[in-house]
Amino acid sequence: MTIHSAAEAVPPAKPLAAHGPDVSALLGDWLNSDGGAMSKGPVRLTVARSETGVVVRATGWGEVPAVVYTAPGAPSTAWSFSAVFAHDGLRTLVSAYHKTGILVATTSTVPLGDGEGPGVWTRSFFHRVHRVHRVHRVHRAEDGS
Amino acid sequence: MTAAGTDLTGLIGGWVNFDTAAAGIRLVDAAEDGGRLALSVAEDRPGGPRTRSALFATPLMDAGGEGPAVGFLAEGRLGPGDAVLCGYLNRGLLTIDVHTVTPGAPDVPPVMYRAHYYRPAPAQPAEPPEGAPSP
Repeated sequence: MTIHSAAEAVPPAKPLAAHGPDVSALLGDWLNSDGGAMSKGPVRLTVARSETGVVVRATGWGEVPAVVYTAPGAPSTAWSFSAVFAHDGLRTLVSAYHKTGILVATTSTVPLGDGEGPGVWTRSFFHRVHRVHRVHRVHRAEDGS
Repeated sequence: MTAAGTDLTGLIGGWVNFDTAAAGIRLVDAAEDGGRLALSVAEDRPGGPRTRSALFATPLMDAGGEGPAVGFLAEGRLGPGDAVLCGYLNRGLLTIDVHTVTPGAPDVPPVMYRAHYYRPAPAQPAEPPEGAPSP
Protein backbone atom coordinates (compact mmCIF):
# COMPACT_ATOMS: atom_id res chain seq x y z
CA MET A 1 0.00 0.00 0.00
CA THR A 2 1.31 3.41 -0.88
CA ILE A 3 0.31 6.96 -0.32
CA HIS A 4 0.92 9.91 -2.58
CA SER A 5 1.98 13.15 -1.02
CA ALA A 6 2.23 16.32 -3.01
CA ALA A 7 3.26 18.14 0.12
CA GLU A 8 6.46 16.09 0.23
CA ALA A 9 7.54 17.78 -3.00
CA VAL A 10 7.71 21.11 -1.22
CA PRO A 11 11.08 21.87 0.35
CA PRO A 12 11.18 22.49 4.09
CA ALA A 13 10.07 25.95 5.05
CA LYS A 14 12.66 28.58 5.79
CA PRO A 15 11.92 32.02 7.12
CA LEU A 16 11.65 34.71 4.51
CA ALA A 17 11.83 38.40 5.12
CA ALA A 18 9.22 39.42 7.64
CA HIS A 19 7.19 41.29 5.06
CA GLY A 20 7.64 38.75 2.27
CA PRO A 21 4.65 36.87 0.89
CA ASP A 22 4.14 33.15 1.45
CA VAL A 23 5.62 31.42 -1.60
CA SER A 24 4.85 27.84 -0.62
CA ALA A 25 2.19 27.36 -3.32
CA LEU A 26 4.85 27.85 -5.97
CA LEU A 27 7.59 25.66 -4.55
CA GLY A 28 8.43 22.21 -5.78
CA ASP A 29 9.23 20.18 -8.86
CA TRP A 30 6.81 20.73 -11.71
CA LEU A 31 6.46 18.50 -14.77
CA ASN A 32 5.10 19.66 -18.10
CA SER A 33 1.85 17.79 -18.64
CA ASP A 34 2.66 17.08 -22.27
CA GLY A 35 5.85 15.30 -21.24
CA GLY A 36 7.79 17.06 -23.97
CA ALA A 37 5.76 15.30 -26.64
CA MET A 38 4.73 18.59 -28.18
CA SER A 39 8.12 20.25 -27.63
CA LYS A 40 6.36 23.27 -26.17
CA GLY A 41 7.91 24.96 -23.19
CA PRO A 42 10.33 23.53 -20.68
CA VAL A 43 9.88 19.90 -19.69
CA ARG A 44 10.47 20.48 -16.01
CA LEU A 45 10.61 23.46 -13.66
CA THR A 46 11.95 23.42 -10.13
CA VAL A 47 10.99 26.31 -7.89
CA ALA A 48 12.93 26.61 -4.63
CA ARG A 49 13.77 29.05 -1.91
CA SER A 50 17.19 30.69 -1.90
CA GLU A 51 18.97 32.95 0.51
CA THR A 52 17.69 35.96 -1.35
CA GLY A 53 14.24 34.79 -2.35
CA VAL A 54 13.15 32.23 -4.92
CA VAL A 55 15.02 30.56 -7.76
CA VAL A 56 13.73 28.65 -10.76
CA ARG A 57 15.56 25.85 -12.48
CA ALA A 58 14.56 24.75 -15.97
CA THR A 59 15.92 21.59 -17.48
CA GLY A 60 18.68 22.52 -19.92
CA TRP A 61 18.54 26.22 -19.16
CA GLY A 62 20.06 26.38 -15.68
CA GLU A 63 18.91 28.25 -12.59
CA VAL A 64 18.00 31.90 -12.24
CA PRO A 65 16.43 34.12 -9.58
CA ALA A 66 12.72 34.72 -9.88
CA VAL A 67 10.42 37.58 -9.06
CA VAL A 68 7.35 36.44 -7.16
CA TYR A 69 4.01 38.22 -7.43
CA THR A 70 0.93 38.45 -5.29
CA ALA A 71 -2.60 38.92 -6.53
CA PRO A 72 -4.21 42.34 -6.18
CA GLY A 73 -5.54 42.73 -2.67
CA ALA A 74 -3.79 39.60 -1.37
CA PRO A 75 -0.30 40.74 -0.41
CA SER A 76 0.46 37.86 1.93
CA THR A 77 0.50 35.06 -0.64
CA ALA A 78 2.53 34.71 -3.83
CA TRP A 79 0.68 33.03 -6.68
CA SER A 80 2.93 33.84 -9.63
CA PHE A 81 6.55 34.22 -10.64
CA SER A 82 8.62 35.31 -13.58
CA ALA A 83 12.16 34.31 -14.42
CA VAL A 84 14.46 35.15 -17.31
CA PHE A 85 16.79 32.56 -18.85
CA ALA A 86 19.55 33.16 -21.39
CA HIS A 87 20.31 30.10 -23.47
CA ASP A 88 21.42 29.22 -26.99
CA GLY A 89 21.54 32.87 -28.08
CA LEU A 90 18.00 33.40 -26.88
CA ARG A 91 16.27 35.10 -23.98
CA THR A 92 13.29 33.31 -22.50
CA LEU A 93 10.96 34.87 -19.98
CA VAL A 94 8.96 32.27 -18.08
CA SER A 95 5.80 33.65 -16.54
CA ALA A 96 3.80 31.27 -14.41
CA TYR A 97 0.90 31.26 -12.01
CA HIS A 98 -0.52 28.68 -9.65
CA LYS A 99 -4.17 27.72 -9.94
CA THR A 100 -6.01 24.80 -8.36
CA GLY A 101 -2.87 22.76 -7.89
CA ILE A 102 -1.37 23.25 -11.32
CA LEU A 103 1.18 25.69 -12.63
CA VAL A 104 0.30 27.49 -15.85
CA ALA A 105 3.40 28.82 -17.56
CA THR A 106 3.90 30.91 -20.65
CA THR A 107 7.28 31.35 -22.27
CA SER A 108 8.26 34.31 -24.41
CA THR A 109 11.49 33.60 -26.26
CA VAL A 110 13.24 36.37 -28.18
CA PRO A 111 16.64 36.53 -29.85
CA LEU A 112 19.47 37.93 -27.75
CA GLY A 113 21.58 40.76 -29.05
CA ASP A 114 20.32 42.58 -32.10
CA GLY A 115 16.69 41.99 -31.19
CA GLU A 116 15.78 41.35 -34.80
CA GLY A 117 12.77 39.30 -35.64
CA PRO A 118 9.78 38.03 -33.75
CA GLY A 119 9.88 35.69 -30.82
CA VAL A 120 8.13 32.48 -29.96
CA TRP A 121 5.34 31.96 -27.48
CA THR A 122 4.23 28.83 -25.66
CA ARG A 123 1.72 28.03 -22.95
CA SER A 124 2.12 24.88 -20.89
CA PHE A 125 0.57 23.24 -17.86
CA PHE A 126 2.64 21.69 -15.10
CA HIS A 127 1.76 19.31 -12.31
CA ARG A 128 3.78 18.65 -9.20
CA VAL A 129 6.00 15.60 -8.99
CA HIS A 130 4.30 13.23 -6.57
CA ARG A 131 6.66 11.21 -4.48
CA VAL A 132 5.63 7.74 -3.38
CA HIS A 133 6.23 6.64 0.21
CA ARG A 134 5.52 3.31 1.78
CA VAL A 135 3.04 3.47 4.62
CA HIS A 136 5.30 1.64 7.08
CA ARG A 137 7.73 4.55 6.87
CA VAL A 138 4.96 6.90 7.92
CA HIS A 139 4.08 4.62 10.82
CA ARG A 140 7.68 4.53 11.96
CA ALA A 141 7.85 8.29 11.85
CA GLU A 142 4.68 8.54 13.92
CA ASP A 143 6.17 6.15 16.47
CA GLY A 144 9.24 8.31 16.71
CA SER A 145 11.45 5.42 15.61
CA MET B 1 12.37 44.21 -31.75
CA THR B 2 11.08 44.73 -35.23
CA ALA B 3 7.87 43.32 -36.52
CA ALA B 4 9.02 43.40 -40.13
CA GLY B 5 7.72 40.45 -42.01
CA THR B 6 5.44 39.36 -39.21
CA ASP B 7 1.69 39.36 -39.68
CA LEU B 8 0.41 41.49 -36.82
CA THR B 9 -3.20 41.61 -37.98
CA GLY B 10 -4.51 39.64 -35.04
CA LEU B 11 -2.96 42.00 -32.54
CA ILE B 12 -3.51 45.39 -34.12
CA GLY B 13 -6.39 47.50 -32.88
CA GLY B 14 -8.03 48.87 -29.81
CA TRP B 15 -8.60 46.40 -26.99
CA VAL B 16 -11.08 46.96 -24.16
CA ASN B 17 -11.04 45.20 -20.81
CA PHE B 18 -14.12 43.03 -20.24
CA ASP B 19 -14.05 43.79 -16.53
CA THR B 20 -15.38 47.29 -16.24
CA ALA B 21 -15.11 47.34 -12.44
CA ALA B 22 -11.52 46.25 -11.92
CA ALA B 23 -8.58 48.59 -11.62
CA GLY B 24 -5.61 48.05 -13.87
CA ILE B 25 -5.21 48.22 -17.61
CA ARG B 26 -8.48 49.38 -19.16
CA LEU B 27 -7.50 49.92 -22.78
CA VAL B 28 -4.69 48.84 -25.03
CA ASP B 29 -4.15 50.32 -28.46
CA ALA B 30 -1.79 48.22 -30.54
CA ALA B 31 -0.35 49.58 -33.77
CA GLU B 32 2.52 48.95 -36.11
CA ASP B 33 4.95 51.84 -35.85
CA GLY B 34 7.96 51.89 -38.10
CA GLY B 35 8.11 48.13 -38.25
CA ARG B 36 7.58 47.71 -34.54
CA LEU B 37 4.58 46.80 -32.44
CA ALA B 38 3.68 49.85 -30.38
CA LEU B 39 1.32 49.72 -27.41
CA SER B 40 -0.50 52.62 -25.84
CA VAL B 41 -1.78 51.47 -22.46
CA ALA B 42 -4.45 53.24 -20.41
CA GLU B 43 -4.44 52.23 -16.77
CA ASP B 44 -6.73 53.03 -13.86
CA ARG B 45 -5.34 52.96 -10.35
CA PRO B 46 -7.42 53.14 -7.20
CA GLY B 47 -7.73 56.73 -6.13
CA GLY B 48 -5.72 58.01 -9.02
CA PRO B 49 -6.28 59.44 -12.45
CA ARG B 50 -6.11 57.33 -15.58
CA THR B 51 -2.56 57.17 -16.89
CA ARG B 52 -1.32 56.44 -20.38
CA SER B 53 1.96 54.74 -21.10
CA ALA B 54 3.69 53.87 -24.35
CA LEU B 55 5.58 50.62 -24.73
CA PHE B 56 7.15 48.78 -27.60
CA ALA B 57 6.45 45.06 -27.73
CA THR B 58 8.06 42.08 -29.36
CA PRO B 59 5.53 40.09 -31.38
CA LEU B 60 5.52 36.38 -30.67
CA MET B 61 4.62 33.49 -32.94
CA ASP B 62 3.52 30.00 -32.09
CA ALA B 63 6.25 27.45 -31.43
CA GLY B 64 7.70 26.51 -34.79
CA GLY B 65 7.93 30.12 -35.88
CA GLU B 66 5.32 29.91 -38.62
CA GLY B 67 2.16 31.90 -39.08
CA PRO B 68 0.98 35.22 -37.72
CA ALA B 69 1.85 36.78 -34.40
CA VAL B 70 -0.20 35.24 -31.61
CA GLY B 71 1.14 37.22 -28.69
CA PHE B 72 3.60 39.81 -27.52
CA LEU B 73 6.08 40.57 -24.78
CA ALA B 74 6.39 44.14 -23.56
CA GLU B 75 8.68 45.36 -20.80
CA GLY B 76 8.95 48.89 -19.51
CA ARG B 77 7.53 51.60 -17.36
CA LEU B 78 3.82 51.51 -16.63
CA GLY B 79 2.70 54.39 -14.43
CA PRO B 80 4.82 54.39 -11.26
CA GLY B 81 6.01 50.82 -11.73
CA ASP B 82 8.04 48.55 -13.94
CA ALA B 83 5.89 46.16 -15.89
CA VAL B 84 6.11 43.01 -17.92
CA LEU B 85 3.13 42.36 -20.15
CA CYS B 86 2.71 38.88 -21.58
CA GLY B 87 -0.16 39.05 -24.04
CA TYR B 88 -1.63 36.34 -26.22
CA LEU B 89 -4.60 35.79 -28.45
CA ASN B 90 -7.19 33.21 -27.54
CA ARG B 91 -10.13 32.77 -29.90
CA GLY B 92 -10.07 36.37 -30.96
CA LEU B 93 -9.69 37.75 -27.46
CA LEU B 94 -6.51 39.12 -25.95
CA THR B 95 -5.35 37.91 -22.56
CA ILE B 96 -2.61 39.86 -20.81
CA ASP B 97 -0.70 38.66 -17.79
CA VAL B 98 0.32 41.93 -16.18
CA HIS B 99 3.34 41.85 -13.84
CA THR B 100 4.23 45.01 -11.99
CA VAL B 101 7.02 45.90 -9.61
CA THR B 102 7.13 49.25 -7.85
CA PRO B 103 10.75 50.27 -7.29
CA GLY B 104 11.53 52.19 -4.15
CA ALA B 105 8.40 50.97 -2.40
CA PRO B 106 9.43 47.92 -0.36
CA ASP B 107 6.02 47.73 1.27
CA VAL B 108 4.28 47.37 -2.07
CA PRO B 109 4.62 43.76 -3.19
CA PRO B 110 5.00 42.87 -6.84
CA VAL B 111 1.59 42.12 -8.30
CA MET B 112 0.44 39.93 -11.16
CA TYR B 113 -3.07 39.91 -12.54
CA ARG B 114 -4.69 38.53 -15.66
CA ALA B 115 -7.05 40.59 -17.75
CA HIS B 116 -9.06 39.82 -20.84
CA TYR B 117 -9.77 42.20 -23.69
CA TYR B 118 -11.99 42.38 -26.73
CA ARG B 119 -11.82 44.43 -29.87
CA PRO B 120 -15.05 46.35 -30.37
CA ALA B 121 -16.53 45.85 -33.79
CA PRO B 122 -15.90 48.81 -36.07
CA ALA B 123 -18.76 51.25 -36.16
CA GLN B 124 -21.19 50.61 -38.98
CA PRO B 125 -22.00 53.54 -41.24
CA ALA B 126 -25.40 54.94 -40.54
CA GLU B 127 -28.16 54.29 -43.04
CA PRO B 128 -28.43 57.26 -45.40
CA PRO B 129 -31.53 59.32 -44.87
CA GLU B 130 -34.41 58.41 -47.08
CA GLY B 131 -34.14 60.14 -50.39
CA ALA B 132 -30.45 60.91 -50.06
CA PRO B 133 -28.42 60.24 -53.19
CA SER B 134 -26.40 57.05 -53.12
CA PRO B 135 -22.64 57.52 -53.02
